[in-house]
Amino acid sequence: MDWMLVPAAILAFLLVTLYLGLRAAKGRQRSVSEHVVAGRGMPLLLVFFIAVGEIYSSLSFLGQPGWAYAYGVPILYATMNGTMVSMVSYWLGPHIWRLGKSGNYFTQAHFLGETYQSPLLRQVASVVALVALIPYISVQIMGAGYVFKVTTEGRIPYWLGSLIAFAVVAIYVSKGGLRSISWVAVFKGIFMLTVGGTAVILVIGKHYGSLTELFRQVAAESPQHLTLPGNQEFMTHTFWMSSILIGMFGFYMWPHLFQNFFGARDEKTIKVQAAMIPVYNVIGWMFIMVGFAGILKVSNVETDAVMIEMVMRTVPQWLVAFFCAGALSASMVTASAATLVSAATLANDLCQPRLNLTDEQLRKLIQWLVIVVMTAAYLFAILQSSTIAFVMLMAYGFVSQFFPLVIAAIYWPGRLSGRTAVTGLAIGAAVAAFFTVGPIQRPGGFHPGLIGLAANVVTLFVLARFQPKR
Amino acid sequence: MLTMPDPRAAEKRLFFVAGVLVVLFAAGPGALWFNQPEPFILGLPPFLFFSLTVFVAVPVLLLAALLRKI
Repeated sequence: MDWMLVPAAILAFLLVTLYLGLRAAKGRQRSVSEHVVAGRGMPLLLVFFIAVGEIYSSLSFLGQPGWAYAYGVPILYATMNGTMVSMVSYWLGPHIWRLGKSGNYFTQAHFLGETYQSPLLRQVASVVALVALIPYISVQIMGAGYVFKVTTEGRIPYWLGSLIAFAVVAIYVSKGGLRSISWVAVFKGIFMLTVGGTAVILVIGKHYGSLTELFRQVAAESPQHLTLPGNQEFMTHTFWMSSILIGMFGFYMWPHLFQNFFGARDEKTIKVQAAMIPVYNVIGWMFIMVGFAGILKVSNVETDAVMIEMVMRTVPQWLVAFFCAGALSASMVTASAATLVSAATLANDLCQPRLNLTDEQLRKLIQWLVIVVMTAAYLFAILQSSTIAFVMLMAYGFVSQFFPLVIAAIYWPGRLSGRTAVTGLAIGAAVAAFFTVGPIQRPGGFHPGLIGLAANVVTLFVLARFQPKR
Repeated sequence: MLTMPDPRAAEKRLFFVAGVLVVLFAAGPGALWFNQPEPFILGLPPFLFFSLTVFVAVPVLLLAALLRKI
């Protein structure tokens, strides 16, 4: 009955998560502001852990080592980006927080719609957020089902594992909103740092003795893993460069990351958490090292399974159980924030302008929509895995198009009309989509999102010259 | 009414430019200069060493900005 240890640890972990999530919601004021942005009163600890909780999804813990194993150094762009975007958080976060507080905004679409005085932009931004976030939640659900399936050797099927994990998420997000998510994120962040860090050190230590020895062997056997374009010529220098740039512009434009700024207690909290993020990111870099360790030790496994495979070969089973629980929690925290934001934008930006609900009614609608969004994402994950990959491919290019609109809202308020903003957004997204899936290769090997962004900015400048003064 | 220019504007601009330079270095020349499997730097292949530079540069920059109340 050895196989039961891992699911038992995971179920225990889920119960702790549910307890924390529900406890955080107790005794709080029942309002939309409390539910969606934690009453704009989150202290440093919660803001920091929710930020790193959202950055480090199961994709980071399982997918990035998999990329290192398959392609080598190109994946380092992800951790470098994850570190450098904290400068964007430091720079833009306080501005977004200030505008959010003065206008009582709850979502990114709300922010854009009100600062441009454009109901159309609010609706378009809300739809873009939903299109980007629901597949993103589905990917996290798939990650959870995958963890259950791999660790129980198929005894708990994919559909059941993901259903159990995300039923827990739906309950605490619906009940406690952002505050519940943040306390679960604290638990996950500390748990993953200790368990994940220990597992990584043990893997490298047992198989190679040191990082230097690991790379000495990789340099001798497979030097193409240590330079661009990477193994199988995966990433040209141009694509590296444009991936870094689009990451800088697009990262905080993901609606769930953007909305976090609204929840902070004050501007200083945002600045301090931004300065702390790079320190936590070292754990992401260490996880990637396990992918490199797998190059000479593991063959014939799926790339995403290399992390779990190396851990299972190295550490005692109880630690494997905790590690898997941590990987599961990573997908749960990311998905919970994305689910709350999806439900909030659906209710607040698409329904509320038509229904004019009271605060209490709107909060209840958001709570119900959490269940609806989670169910939709679950069905999407079970039925349409190829569509998810396709939509995710385009999602980054789409959300990046918000960047110039946010900059203009902060630094040039009133200079662009809502119609101009919507046109720039639409042209940028269309260009990015065309070079992602269209018949023509992207010019110069640049990232499609960056090409879209260039088209977006040019459109905004040209239209701004000809629009009537506001 | 006369408005005084922000006395910290130059300092803010300096930090902003430093941040942009970190990003441009990571995106451009850094990835070219360190793009070789050997010789190792501080026990790491050059590209791996390069990837760690931002883990030093960014916190130092942000900490300095925090201390200067930028």
